[in-house]
Amino acid sequence: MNDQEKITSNQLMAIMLSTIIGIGILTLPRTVTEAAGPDGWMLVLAGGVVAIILSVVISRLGLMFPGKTVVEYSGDIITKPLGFIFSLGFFTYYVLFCAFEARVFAEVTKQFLLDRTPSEAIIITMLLGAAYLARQDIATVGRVGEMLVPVFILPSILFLLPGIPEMDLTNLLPFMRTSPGKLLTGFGTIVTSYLGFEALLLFQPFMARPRDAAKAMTVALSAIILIYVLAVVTAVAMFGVVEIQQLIWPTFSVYRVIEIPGAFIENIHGVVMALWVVAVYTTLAVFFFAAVTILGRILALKEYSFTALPLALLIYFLALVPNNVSQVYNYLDAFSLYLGIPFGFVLPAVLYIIARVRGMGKEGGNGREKQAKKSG
Amino acid sequence: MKSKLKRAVSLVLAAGVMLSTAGCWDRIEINERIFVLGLAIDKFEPGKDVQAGEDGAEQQEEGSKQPEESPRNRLVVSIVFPNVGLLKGEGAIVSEDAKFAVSTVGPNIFEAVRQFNTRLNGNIFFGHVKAILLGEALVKDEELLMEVLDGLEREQEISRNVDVAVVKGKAKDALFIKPLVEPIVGTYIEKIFRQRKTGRFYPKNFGKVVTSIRETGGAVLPRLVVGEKEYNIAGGCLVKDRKFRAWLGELEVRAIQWLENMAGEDVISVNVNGVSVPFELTELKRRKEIWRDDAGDVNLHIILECEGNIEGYILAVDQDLMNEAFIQQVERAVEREMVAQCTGVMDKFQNEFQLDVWGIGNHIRKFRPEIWEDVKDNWQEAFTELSVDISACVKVRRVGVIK
Repeated sequence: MNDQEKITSNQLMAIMLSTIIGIGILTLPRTVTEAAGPDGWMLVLAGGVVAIILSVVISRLGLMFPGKTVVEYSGDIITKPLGFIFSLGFFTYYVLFCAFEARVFAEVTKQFLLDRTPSEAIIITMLLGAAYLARQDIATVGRVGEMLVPVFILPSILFLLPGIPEMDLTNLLPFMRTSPGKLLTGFGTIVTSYLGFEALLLFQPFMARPRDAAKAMTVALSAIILIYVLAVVTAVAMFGVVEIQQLIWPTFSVYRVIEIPGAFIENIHGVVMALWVVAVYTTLAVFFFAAVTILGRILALKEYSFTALPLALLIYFLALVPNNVSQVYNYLDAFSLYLGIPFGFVLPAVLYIIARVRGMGKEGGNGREKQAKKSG
Repeated sequence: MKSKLKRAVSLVLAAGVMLSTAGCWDRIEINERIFVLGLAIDKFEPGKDVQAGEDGAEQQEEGSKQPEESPRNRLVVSIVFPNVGLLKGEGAIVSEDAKFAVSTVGPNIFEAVRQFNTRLNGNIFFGHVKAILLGEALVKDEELLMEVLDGLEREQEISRNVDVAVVKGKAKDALFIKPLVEPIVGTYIEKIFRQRKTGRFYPKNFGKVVTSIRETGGAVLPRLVVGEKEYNIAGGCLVKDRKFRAWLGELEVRAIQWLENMAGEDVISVNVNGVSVPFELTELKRRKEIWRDDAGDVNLHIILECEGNIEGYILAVDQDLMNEAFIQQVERAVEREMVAQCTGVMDKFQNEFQLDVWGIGNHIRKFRPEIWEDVKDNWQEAFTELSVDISACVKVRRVGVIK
């Protein structure tokens, strides 16, 4: 990886913001309200805190093995064969994630924007664009992230302002009346909306200063928590806890209601839709990049960008597997539960604990100090 | 040299890729679109469809023959769209009508719209629908009404902000008249809705109506009466238990809005010293207090805080309005009037309709969750047993420009 350029911690933040915000934010207000009624936004907050904790754990793990990605050090920690299985699973996870990202993108775009364009065409163009970025090195991905994050975040928030008169914040009441048991069961589904942060397992060694990863992750995830809470609060305030559960993509429906008074374009949902395309693109491209990187490293290839196009083909066919929108979301739920939670939350923590127990931390700790002196 | 060639080749390639991939399946030229501004949906009633709107009668019925009775014919769907050519000033070729209205019969809205595709030369687009009108017979049919509401909400082109009204009689007729002031029916209705100078109808957009039906089990929709060259939107149509329940009078609808904290700047006339005094209501704030008395019954106290102006009295020298005692007299009279109207409506909804149209249950759930725990399982019954006390506090601010 020495021939690759390094990324700054700002670029890591941008990558994380653009990666984690993707298809999940569209359904988030509905899923949290189904889980916890008016207290849903607190679940979002709690889920984000867990994601921050896990990303700090991952960054510690990365610091123990400077210069290595999870593909290499998982072999060191849990023996080579198990590490290989882990990496393969991790690879599958990203490939499937790409497929879901592409499919949901196609479903939503067809529903709201291009109802006569074939899904295949939507998916292919998106995948080709993502494959192009996935062939580049990490620094390019970082720069694209830096460029695109403000493009989709700032206008989306600004466009909410004309909708304020339509919102009734009392819809968030009563406060803290959901039973703890209900909150806990809902929690499992909410944390998966933060998936994407675990890409740090791969990206940390590419950082110019890997020590800064934890800080950058905390800042990025905090921003995402704010954006998610904003999405949930505006949607609940606009539709109320009953109606919101009927809307498949409440975050878009919010923009369907908002009208900019006197503006040439009365309905802004088309614009917001276009911004969201950017958000999905960055998510898809980063996951694609992660899949290509893992594959290259499993196969120990020197130059692995050529795997991007065949992978695009694989993702394309996977994306077309579900029959209908309901099946897409059923599969996505299963995917989040059986792959998302293990690879995002459980396995990194397990790896960290095993590494600590096996005493690998000390070596890493020394390395960290040496590095600190060098850079200091 | 070589790099120049390379650059040229890549430029050509890039242009080629862009040109070939930028083809868009969804491209529709704006003048190929039919911008539907008003959508009217009626229940198909065989034999009753003979009469039609005065103008444009020839261009409406499906193929000019009377649709026959068949299980497939369930709905009459009518649309109205502007003559874009005329508005653009393309003169001679286009027809002189400012708008076109067409109507067809079908088993559901969507199939009916496809019927239009066999008759109209454009791409029917619902993104700019300004008003949805539901016919009386449709609203009285439980199954059809819920079908229609679901279809309209599910369709992404139709905005949730679109205005809805129930037409007394046939909704179709509303689209075929030539209104006096504004030729295009959809915008005409929208403008009536937007002015907010009266409380005599309850403007609710489509999203609010379906939300209300889901949350409270019912909704009050504005009532529209079709005249010769104009409409009258006044009063309301109460939908409860998934279908029509009752027509509501204009004053009742106004009182419902007072109790919901929103009403247009309407005029309330009260009798003071034998003279009818018009009081213009400019501001209204509604507070709700809920508590449980010693017997355990739930009490609701609604306080209306109003502000407004006296608009007129009687031309005289000895009596002027710059008199605080007199102003207070007017204030008390308005208070009595408002409370009487509100109490009447509240009583009707508690006892006759048994419908919590204001979302009082929601209010209790939000602000008094401990009370809600006890009543939520049989809220409808608890609502009817609620002891409600309504009071008003009216302040006259101005009296016009003469004493």
